[in-house]
Amino acid sequence: MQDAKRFWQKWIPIILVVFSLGAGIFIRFNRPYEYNGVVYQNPEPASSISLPGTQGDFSLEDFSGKAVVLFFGYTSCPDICPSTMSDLKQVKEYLGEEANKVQVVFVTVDPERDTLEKLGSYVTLFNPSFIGLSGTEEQLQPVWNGYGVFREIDTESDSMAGYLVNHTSRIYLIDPAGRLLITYGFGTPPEEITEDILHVLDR
Amino acid sequence: MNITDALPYIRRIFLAMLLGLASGFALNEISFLFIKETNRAPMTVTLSIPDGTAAAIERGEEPPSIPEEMIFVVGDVLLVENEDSVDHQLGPMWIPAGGTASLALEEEQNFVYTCTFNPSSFFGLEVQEPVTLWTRISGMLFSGVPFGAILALYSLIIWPIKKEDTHAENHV
Repeated sequence: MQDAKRFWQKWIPIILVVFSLGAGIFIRFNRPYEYNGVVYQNPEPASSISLPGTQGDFSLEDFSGKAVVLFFGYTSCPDICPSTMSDLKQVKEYLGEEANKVQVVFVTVDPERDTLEKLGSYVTLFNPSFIGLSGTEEQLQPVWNGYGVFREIDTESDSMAGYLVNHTSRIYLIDPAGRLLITYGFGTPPEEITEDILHVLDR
Repeated sequence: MNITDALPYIRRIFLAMLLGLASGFALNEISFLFIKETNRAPMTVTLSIPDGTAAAIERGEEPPSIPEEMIFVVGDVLLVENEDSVDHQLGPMWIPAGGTASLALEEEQNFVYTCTFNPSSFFGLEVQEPVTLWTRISGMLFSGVPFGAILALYSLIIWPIKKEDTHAENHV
């Protein structure tokens, strides 16, 4: 009787600790993935994009099967755009072997100054695979509207680059099925974006 | 001084610490009564933008049921349902017409975001740490332990333990 009591006194704490650890590990690895950024419930197909591009005419539908990372900016942007493009460059690096399943697309909000040639030199500085899109304002306006992009020419600022363009700084993640899945605010760490992309590619 | 001589001191300090912890607990619990918004576990908080909101704002009206600011706890998920026929924006969130978007609030913050569904064009979003069991225990310890220590010290000064008390303990 005493032996049985001593046996259980010794083993019950060990069993409890092992069980708790096991339960904790199970819960940790089985909880649903939580995306970073703003997640769209019941994601809808992303708004269509058909524009002249730095690698030829671009159509979003042609990239079905790939994840598309979209950003709206301009080449004369002093801060937000180069910083974001640098982050996206890092995302491509972090993706490693999966990088060829992701296309980064930069759409100009300054068609006056951003010719395709200028865009091409700009985006390929960050990564040779990045695509830049431009066009006339009539061609670009529906795209800007389709992604809720705010854009405002600021002629009053004192900049060496000339006028500035105030614009939305969101990054958009479109999944391989062509649906707008997530948007990220400026400054979202590249690691978090990479994590989400890898999860999307894995689905 | 041997352990038996120290017993009255140990008892005095123990009682003072108990009183300190009890006071810390009471003080904290009263404080938590005033912060009902964060006295809960994280959850999903839904904010609905009714149909006609943009039109109402353009007419200078206040859309019903949309607050100007909200308080959340770390871990909350803000789910915005846009039932309007136009796109809306709340800070980093762009919600297309008819769409629903969610944002996990993982850090303490206190921002005023630009917002297209409030007449003032701004929305106050505050994220605080939730009041959890560990918050309560930490609060009790942080306030109760120093208070108990001070009580013990002052009680020993004001009501010193006489030598006869220790001898009486030894000879009982």
